[in-house]
Amino acid sequence: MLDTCVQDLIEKIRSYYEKLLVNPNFFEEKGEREGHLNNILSALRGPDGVMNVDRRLVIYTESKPSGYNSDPLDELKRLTTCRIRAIIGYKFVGNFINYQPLCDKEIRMRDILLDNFAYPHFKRHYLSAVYTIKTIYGYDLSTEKLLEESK
Amino acid sequence: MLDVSIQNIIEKIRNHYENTEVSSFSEEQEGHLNNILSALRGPDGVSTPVSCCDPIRWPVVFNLPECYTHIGYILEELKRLTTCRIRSVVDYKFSGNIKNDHPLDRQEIRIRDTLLENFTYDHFRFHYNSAVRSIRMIYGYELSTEEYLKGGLR
Repeated sequence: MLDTCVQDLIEKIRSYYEKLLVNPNFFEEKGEREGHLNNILSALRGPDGVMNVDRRLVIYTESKPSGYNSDPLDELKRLTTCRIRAIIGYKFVGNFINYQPLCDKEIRMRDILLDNFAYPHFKRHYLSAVYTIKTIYGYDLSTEKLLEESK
Repeated sequence: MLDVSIQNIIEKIRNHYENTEVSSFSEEQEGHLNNILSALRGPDGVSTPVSCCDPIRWPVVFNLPECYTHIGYILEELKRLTTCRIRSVVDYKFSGNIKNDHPLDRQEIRIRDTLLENFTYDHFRFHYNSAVRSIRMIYGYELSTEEYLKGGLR
């Protein structure tokens, strides 16, 4: 259930801070905790649009079969938001989730789309979520690798 | 605190379904939560209207105040008139987020609707409208007219 997913996320962030035995600045930690929650919740909606791109443009020949021509917006969403949803287990019937870790070509394509076609607003929220997932879940979405201490 | 805000939204949805004795429709409840959470981020950008791509003419063509000639300003206004109102009604308490605690007046409502119709990406409009629907049902507040419904909690 979706409310359970969200509650699991809140619990995961809480337990991360409980595990930090030394807590010299409680108030700072509280603000940080909220920040992590907001970082993830804000990125769960996919990008609204893409900039400066012809929707018919074929930009996927490197990572997709020849002649493949998907919508850059859908592709950006599949490579970013849908991966976040998979890592945190955000299960809602209407939402697409991408359980498959991205391969090197897809990572390169994601970064090209983020740098050249994504709105800065979306990119900022996506990168904030990546930072939080790295901190709380021990998974680095930028490289699609589990961090050592989380293995 | 933000996690408390989220728990309150979940609780509000649960209460609504308990009161209407249809608590078994969990998928619908999930839908409402998803609708609200998805709309809490502001719009990523603004799309230039197909009918008029000259910013100087936007106030005349779309009957907007004279200052609506810059895409960045329009984006900020769209956010203030939509997302910030949602955050306020559901009491989304996070220090980094801007809220808009003042119900829109008639002119602001008209401007909001014009911006939604002509300058907004379908994706954002879809999520905003879904949140408006959920807030109407769960909170008894009609964002489109900025009025409480009969029986809605003040």
